[in-house]
Amino acid sequence: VRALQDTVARRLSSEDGIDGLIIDLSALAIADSFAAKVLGETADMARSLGARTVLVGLRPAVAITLVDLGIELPRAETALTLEAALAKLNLRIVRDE
Amino acid sequence: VSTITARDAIADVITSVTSPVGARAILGSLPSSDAYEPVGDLDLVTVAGLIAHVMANLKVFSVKGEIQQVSWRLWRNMSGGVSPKPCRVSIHVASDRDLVRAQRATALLTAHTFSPTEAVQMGTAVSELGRNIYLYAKSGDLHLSVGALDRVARFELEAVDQGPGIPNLEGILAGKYVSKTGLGRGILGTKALLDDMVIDSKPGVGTTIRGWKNGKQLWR
Repeated sequence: VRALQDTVARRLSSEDGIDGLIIDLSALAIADSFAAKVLGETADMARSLGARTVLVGLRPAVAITLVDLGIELPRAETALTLEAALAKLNLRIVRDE
Repeated sequence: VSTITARDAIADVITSVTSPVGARAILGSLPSSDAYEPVGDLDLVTVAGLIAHVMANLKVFSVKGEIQQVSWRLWRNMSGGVSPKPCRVSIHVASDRDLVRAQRATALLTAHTFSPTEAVQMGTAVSELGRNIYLYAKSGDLHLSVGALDRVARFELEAVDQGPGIPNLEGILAGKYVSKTGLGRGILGTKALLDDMVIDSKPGVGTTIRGWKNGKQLWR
């Protein structure tokens, strides 16, 4: 998760015109309070660099566990699918004919 | 001395609930390393793995009677009425990488005797306690086990370190105190993921945390 944070920081500060960040969590099997904290910090950092963050694909068991732990991810928006996440950022997939 | 092998115990059940062809196919697909061991020598996680394998393959063939009953009969036959011995894993924790090993070990131990959500809860509890070890005590050990108590699967975890101890433990347990690093919330949260958790911490001596969680009823 630290590596993710570094990559996001580098890309957002070196490239112009990035106003949205979507993080796919579908491969995240376990999220403890540290992982949640780093994700929250990443969203904060992205916002200070001008990008909104949407978390997508959080597994149900992981979501339940975060609630049990008493952890919320208040600084990031969440969406069930990539399409929904793009819609939150007012984007949609356009296919060329 | 009983020398019934796992294969014998499984054959006894499945030949009576499925066709001879099906029974032979399933017996042939058993991992030979475990199947020829005497049932008394197998630990609970190995037994659970063999039974999960048989149950998954039985779905392919027609089964007489209720699936749940078949699973219970397999457990009864494989255990001889006595709970299989617990499967234990110990992991020395001194870095981030060790936490990933501990998470994977927990997943393997709990795969067939707990629900997927429970497995994630226990993996997360292990991760939280392991992280506390290397953040506050630099190193320590996690002892994990899955066994059975009164025919119910039981996960037990013990986190041991010789670190500085947990300051203001009473305040933390009463929910009145959270450290700057969030330690208090982490400990209470971890307790909520388990059925119960007991903390023994002495300043300058170290901390031992024991927790447990019950899983599936294995047989009746």
